[in-house]
Amino acid sequence: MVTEHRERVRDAGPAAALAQPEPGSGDLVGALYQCHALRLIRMAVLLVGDQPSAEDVVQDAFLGLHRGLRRLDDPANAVAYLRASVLNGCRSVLRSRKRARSSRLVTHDPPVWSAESAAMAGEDRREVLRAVARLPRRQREVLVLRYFLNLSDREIAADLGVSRGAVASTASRGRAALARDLGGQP
Amino acid sequence: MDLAATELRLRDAFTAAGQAVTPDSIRSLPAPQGRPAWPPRSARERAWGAPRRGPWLRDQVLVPLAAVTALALVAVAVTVIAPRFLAGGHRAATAGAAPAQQNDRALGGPAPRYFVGVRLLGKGEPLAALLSVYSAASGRIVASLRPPGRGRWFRAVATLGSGRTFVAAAGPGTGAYRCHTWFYRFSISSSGQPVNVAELAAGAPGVVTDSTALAASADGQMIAYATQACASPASRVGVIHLATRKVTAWTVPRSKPRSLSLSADGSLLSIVSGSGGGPAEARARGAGAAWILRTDDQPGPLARRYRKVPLPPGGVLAAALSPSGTVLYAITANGPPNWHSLGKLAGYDVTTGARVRPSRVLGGGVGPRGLAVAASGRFALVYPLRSDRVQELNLATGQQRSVPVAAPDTPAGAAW
Repeated sequence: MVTEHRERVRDAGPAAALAQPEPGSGDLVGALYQCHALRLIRMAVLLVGDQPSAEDVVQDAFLGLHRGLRRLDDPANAVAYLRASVLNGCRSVLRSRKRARSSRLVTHDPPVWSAESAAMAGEDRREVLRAVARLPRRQREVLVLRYFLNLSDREIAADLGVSRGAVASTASRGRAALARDLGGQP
Repeated sequence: MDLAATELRLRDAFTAAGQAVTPDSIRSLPAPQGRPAWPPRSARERAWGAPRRGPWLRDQVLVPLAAVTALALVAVAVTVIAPRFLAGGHRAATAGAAPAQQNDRALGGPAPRYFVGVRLLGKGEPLAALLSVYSAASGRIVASLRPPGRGRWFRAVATLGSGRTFVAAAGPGTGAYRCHTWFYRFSISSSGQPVNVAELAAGAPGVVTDSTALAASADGQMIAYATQACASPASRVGVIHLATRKVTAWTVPRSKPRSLSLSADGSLLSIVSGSGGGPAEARARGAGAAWILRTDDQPGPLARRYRKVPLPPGGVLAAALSPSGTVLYAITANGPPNWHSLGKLAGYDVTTGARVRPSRVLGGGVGPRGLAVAASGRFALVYPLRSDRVQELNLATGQQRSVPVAAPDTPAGAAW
């Protein structure tokens, strides 16, 4: 029953999680976590490359939501808030890794994706993921939001705090760069 | 390649990579600390969009003030009260007066999220090693610390006061001219990244005898080490008081002390050294005896200062003191001496040798082991030095959990 509920809420969109908290659970943040955590963790994995960091980022986002829920004007914005928090958290993780690399303290770079994922993905997919990892951060974020979360340009613009035109042009540049990068692949 | 095909490949790759994260593999949301999970609200407040801000005085002044006050109280409790409470028993223990359990009631806190291990690289240079930060949950390496300098390699690591601050010992590579040990202090961030690496002013002559031959006190004031001179079999056990830089050292003629640990206040030091007099095969595995000494004793020959902890026969593979210094957790060879027997971890009164914590049989086969007790005193990490069976042990409940560290990345020494 709980699984059915999760599927129903997931399909119905963010507002449904707020309108239909999971039976037996009085905790709205908990219900949101059950409905959206997996998707957000997957998104974060695509951005930071490893599951433990992705889970940390997503949990921080939910705890931030819990702390700031009273200041949220519209509950339907909770999921958008979470997405934006996760994006910010991923940027922080990547920045701290970059700092550690530049100070020559860290030699171990987490993979672009987890080992399990790599095993599942196959060489062609791995090549695509590598190419995505080489893109500038903003292009990578736009592509993940558009092609993994299937968000509209308007939603992406709201998450990233840019105009819809900027989203469209960034996505276009990202796709073109990927096509160039992958062009030599069979 | 046309853009439509690129989009298709992109969606396909994202979907496949995303599906590697399965619902069963993710952690549940931790309960937020410090306030109720869902504060009751009035009917008016329940209407979304209604103003939810509290009074200015409460939100902007009283709440932050209360938070700062609470933080200050916690800081005072941690720095002043807790060390006294934890340290209260060591003198009594050496005198044999107080029951060992009384002083370990303060054990608590969650298991550390990360542990730091010495990872041998095994590339040409036999001493080449990095420090790696491992996720205690997944066993994966989240970051590594480069060698601290040209020709220097990390040899051992110990936790310094918390699960976030560490001290590491580094020594020269094979054939180096200098025979010296350098110490470094560093912290790890909330995401496990090493930060604030700094070399300590104090060093030690010789090179550390073992990847477990470094310890630090939970109050962050003292480190202990065992080093061996490069030109002779003599070893040296020393303690450095970090605030005063005072060094006290004791000499050991022949054996190589290892598995060092300090009580929380740094007043007691335990080592494993020599032969424990156990079965021949236990000795062959590197089992020795556990010894205790006071760190404020006069320098000189170690044999005149330390005393043996009367543990059951069989030989000690590794040992670590509880924060209070009244209990010695020791891994001993278990059962009849054969190569398939397992190690056994138990807590013993340091004075009487009586078992005060139940025995736990450990998997992972025989061989040298390392034992790292978390600063809270509640959790221990057991790492067989020749296999990949790293285990997390809750010392209060006896619950064991395997940490899946892949074999090439198995730590040769660890701290958390």
